[in-house]
Amino acid sequence: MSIGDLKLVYVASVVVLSLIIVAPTLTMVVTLPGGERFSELWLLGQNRMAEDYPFNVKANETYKVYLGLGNHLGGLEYYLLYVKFRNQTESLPDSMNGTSSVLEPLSEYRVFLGDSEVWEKEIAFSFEGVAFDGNVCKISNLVLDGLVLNVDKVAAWDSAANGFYCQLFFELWLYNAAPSGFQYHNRFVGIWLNMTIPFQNPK
Amino acid sequence: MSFATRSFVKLAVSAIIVFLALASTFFRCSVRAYTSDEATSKIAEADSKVKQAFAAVSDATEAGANVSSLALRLNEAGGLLAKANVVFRSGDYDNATLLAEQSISLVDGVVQEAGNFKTMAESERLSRLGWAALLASVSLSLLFVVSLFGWRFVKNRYFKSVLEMKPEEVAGN
Repeated sequence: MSIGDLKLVYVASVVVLSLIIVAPTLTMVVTLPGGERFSELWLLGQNRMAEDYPFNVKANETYKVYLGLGNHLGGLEYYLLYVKFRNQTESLPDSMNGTSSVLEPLSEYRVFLGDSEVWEKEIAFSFEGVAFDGNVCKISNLVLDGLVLNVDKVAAWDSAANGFYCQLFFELWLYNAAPSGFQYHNRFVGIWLNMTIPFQNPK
Repeated sequence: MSFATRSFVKLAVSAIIVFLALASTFFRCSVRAYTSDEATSKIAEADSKVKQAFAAVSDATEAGANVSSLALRLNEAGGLLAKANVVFRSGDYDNATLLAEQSISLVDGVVQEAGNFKTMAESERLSRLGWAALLASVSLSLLFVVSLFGWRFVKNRYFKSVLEMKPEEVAGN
């Protein structure tokens, strides 16, 4: 090795060492780009697992699901979760266009989450005032977390799937300070429910 | 009148006054009914206050402050505001107004506290940055001086090793 080469190696070593010394200070000033930014939304069954979701439901019986939300957007966020209930003919959110369902929300949850924080809530629901009339099932009230909510929904008999189907779903909205309002965050979760007639013991 | 009788009369009068005060408060509360407009206005006020508090807490978070206590209050206030909206939709304007008022009182002062947290976090950050910069400058200066002496040492060793090299004998000469 010539003296020139040795000098080059020595200078390079000193430069690398200088960078190592300066690195902690630089990290305090320069913010490196983080990973992928997203929000999670999930719905779990009564055992807090992705199974045993309520499906065949009866009036005046309480069912349980767990609604969860995770923030990976890199900062404190303000979320709004709308609870909506629809029959088979009513609109769902459109994932392709990023638009929410046009249905009015029955209930809502407002959650503030820091980065990498999660929120989970047990949601208990039941139905009141369920009447079957030929090929239709009329549902008057949904009881959500002990609060009676008027739904007045009619589910028609689905001959292909043999049931009176309705869907309970949760839409995720995110607060955006720029237009000073909530915007649909293009995420929703829901469960299909088949309204069934309670078995009556003949006497 | 004996001392015991006077004390009893005083106690009885005080009890009556307290009872009347409580009864009048209860009566006032029970007869106060809020209209849809009043409830809407109170909910809008709560919504605006919660959003302002969120913005302040968010700023404090970005400055590196620990805002867990404020986030807890925000979540409670948000929960009350959500309930206020739900009961408003069901036509219960009294409870909607009361819940909105509770939400407002919960976030009351959050903006100021978040501002204080932010200022503290920024000054701590500046102080940390100052110390880190000082430490880095001292270390770099030290490295520069040591590297100069180091280079002299390395150069001397290099020349010494070159001078100590023996000429290779080439076979066949």
